[in-house]
Amino acid sequence: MTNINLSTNNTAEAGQEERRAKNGLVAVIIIFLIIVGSYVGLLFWNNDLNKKIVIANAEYDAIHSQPISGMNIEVADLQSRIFLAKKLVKKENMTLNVLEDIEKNIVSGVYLESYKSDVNTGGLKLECNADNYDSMARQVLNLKSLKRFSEVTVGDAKINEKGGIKFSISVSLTN
Amino acid sequence: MKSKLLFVPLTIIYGLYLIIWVVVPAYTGPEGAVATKNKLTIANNKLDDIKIKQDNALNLANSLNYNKDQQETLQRYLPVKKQEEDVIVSLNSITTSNGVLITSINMKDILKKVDPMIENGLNAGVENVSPVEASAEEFAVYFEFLGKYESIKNVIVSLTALKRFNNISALEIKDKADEDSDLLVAKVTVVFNYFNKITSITSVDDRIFADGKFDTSIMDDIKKRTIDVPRVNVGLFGRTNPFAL
Repeated sequence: MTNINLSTNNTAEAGQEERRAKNGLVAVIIIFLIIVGSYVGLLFWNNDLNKKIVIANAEYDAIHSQPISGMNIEVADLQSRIFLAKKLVKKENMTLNVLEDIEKNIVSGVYLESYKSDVNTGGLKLECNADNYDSMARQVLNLKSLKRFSEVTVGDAKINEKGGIKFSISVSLTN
Repeated sequence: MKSKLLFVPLTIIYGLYLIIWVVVPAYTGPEGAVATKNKLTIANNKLDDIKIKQDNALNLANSLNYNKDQQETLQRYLPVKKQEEDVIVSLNSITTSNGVLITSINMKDILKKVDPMIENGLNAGVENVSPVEASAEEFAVYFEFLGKYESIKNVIVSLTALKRFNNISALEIKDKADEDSDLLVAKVTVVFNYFNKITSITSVDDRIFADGKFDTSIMDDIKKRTIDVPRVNVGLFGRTNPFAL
């Protein structure tokens, strides 16, 4: 008598595996389609954005190329004058300030023979007469103590016809 | 059967290839959607900016009539032309009121420093430079006079209070050779400014229209200047012998 295997286990497992395989396949296909769909969507979005850029640029160009005339020229002139005036007002009148600094800082026993300042080159040259070398030294020290002045250089010093000391000082002006 | 077996792994590999080499670059690449979105934002900002400037230009033009005084005042402080005659009459007025006499006057234009980019033709062109970037024209006036120190100082102070923009760039004061006199010789270099009237402007997209109203704060600063520029009157003119008074 032939043995007939009536068990359905293997068939059921095979069916389950087939279902899993099918589900897996479907999932892979869905994921693949999502990827392709995303790419297509991105292309459309990019295209749409590019169109909007073209529209925005065209609108900008239209406004930009509008002729400027009449009152707007007057406006431009006044605005430019205001901007320039602000720059010019800000320019500190350094020459007067330097002169006043020198006035305030001449020590006793010293007087000026000549004064020469140039804010463009940032240079100040003084020719002074002093009672004696002590006064000369005090004058040099006093100028060196001022923040506005840097590089105080003492030039020639010699006895003048009155028996005092004639000397020169060069100073660099700092802004 | 074999093709069925290969389908899934091939699809996965192809899917990964698409993600890495196609989808991601399409999103974040230099020509991708993110970059395009940024470009759109820039284009929209540029458009918004020019629209604001267009509105500002309209508001400024409307308020121009209310700022006529300011316009006239600024044109006095920063005239449209050199107006050397105003400078001469101002210097004469200042020095005579301080009891000193000008012995010489000399005027010289100061050449503008040209931007090397513009000079080499690398820039869009001088005419495209915003009027805001423009600088005032300058000319130097050298004058010499004799006077006591106090008078010289007063002349310098008066120049700083003159109702026309100027900057004293150099000053030389020295003893007069004459031993007995307390007179000094002063040599002054003053730089005066002027600004040619604007006749054209390329576009409304200019910093000039960045604000919708005129900044009037400058008026407070310049009102501190108290010395008027005297008006020059031509008076009588015309004579048969121009070589005789």
